[in-house]
Amino acid sequence: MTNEPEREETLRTMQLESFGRIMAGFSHEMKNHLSIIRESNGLIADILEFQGIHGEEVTVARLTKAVNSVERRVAIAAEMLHHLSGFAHRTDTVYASFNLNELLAEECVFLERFSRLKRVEFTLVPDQGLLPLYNNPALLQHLVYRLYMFCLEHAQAGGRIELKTSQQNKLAVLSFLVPGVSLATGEGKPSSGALSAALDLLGASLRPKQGAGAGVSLTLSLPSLTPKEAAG
Amino acid sequence: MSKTKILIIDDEVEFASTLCQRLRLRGLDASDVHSGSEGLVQAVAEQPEVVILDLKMPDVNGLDILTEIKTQAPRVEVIMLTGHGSSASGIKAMEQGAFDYIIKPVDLGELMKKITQAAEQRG
Repeated sequence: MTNEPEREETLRTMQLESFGRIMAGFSHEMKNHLSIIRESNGLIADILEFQGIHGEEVTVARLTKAVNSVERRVAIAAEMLHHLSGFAHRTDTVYASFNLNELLAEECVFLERFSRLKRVEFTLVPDQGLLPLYNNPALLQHLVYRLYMFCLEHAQAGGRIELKTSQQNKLAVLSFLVPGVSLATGEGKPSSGALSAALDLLGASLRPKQGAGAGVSLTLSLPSLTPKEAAG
Repeated sequence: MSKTKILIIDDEVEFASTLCQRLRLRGLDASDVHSGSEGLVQAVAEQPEVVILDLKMPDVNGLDILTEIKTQAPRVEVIMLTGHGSSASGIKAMEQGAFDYIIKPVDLGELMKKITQAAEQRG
């Protein structure tokens, strides 16, 4: 017989999977609408270019400007939807092989908005030499979100947060750095039972560090699991 | 010199017909159909140089249509349209015989390049 915490965990996993599938469906639909907008706008641009219109020069210039503006915004929205779609599909399977830089890039597109609202500069510095990982990508994105929010909470307006990736032997390392911030004793890292549970499931370790003038850093070391470790 | 013949198979009528008009404006002999089954019949009967095929359609799976086209009309090159966030579905299509894939919403410059390459490959 399944006990209560196990049932709750199964239910949460199923909810996450359903949410992911609905979000993936939504982003597919939005891409279809965006495709039509891009092609229709492109057709107006083509008519202006290939056939020309009889009108004042200023009207043609205004139309061209509007067409270019629509195209620019479509390109931005398309990139965001591309990331949203990838993000939504992360819950398709619990354990999967993935590229850490790609996973962070798709999440950071959305995290960047929170930084912007607080007037904090957020940069992702990916190490291109990372090895592929086999682990739980959706859980890792959840953990990255929590760590990012902790950093953002302590960052000052006008300050910055840097997220760097690197490879240390077989471990992928992910470091958040908030320069110029000092915290009271005991505030140096996010703490909750759920966070520890996430670290356990990922087989990861979290190392907080703070020093005078050096700011705060959170370093997450992440292994690539074997299928046996993932199942256990 | 004859125009490169293109067939667009996509259930989104507005998308397919507008893309078709834009390809015609660029000197291609483009036509469009809006269901997978109709697209297969036309691809086999008309033997266009290049088919632009949507991966997800209500009546059939684009990958099944791709397999059928490559079986019944192997000289037709197929470029898949995918709305997926990852490149996995596009790569899978290429493993099944597609010439290449392109992610929606389509960048026309990129599509034109792929059409030219596909037509050149066909010879």
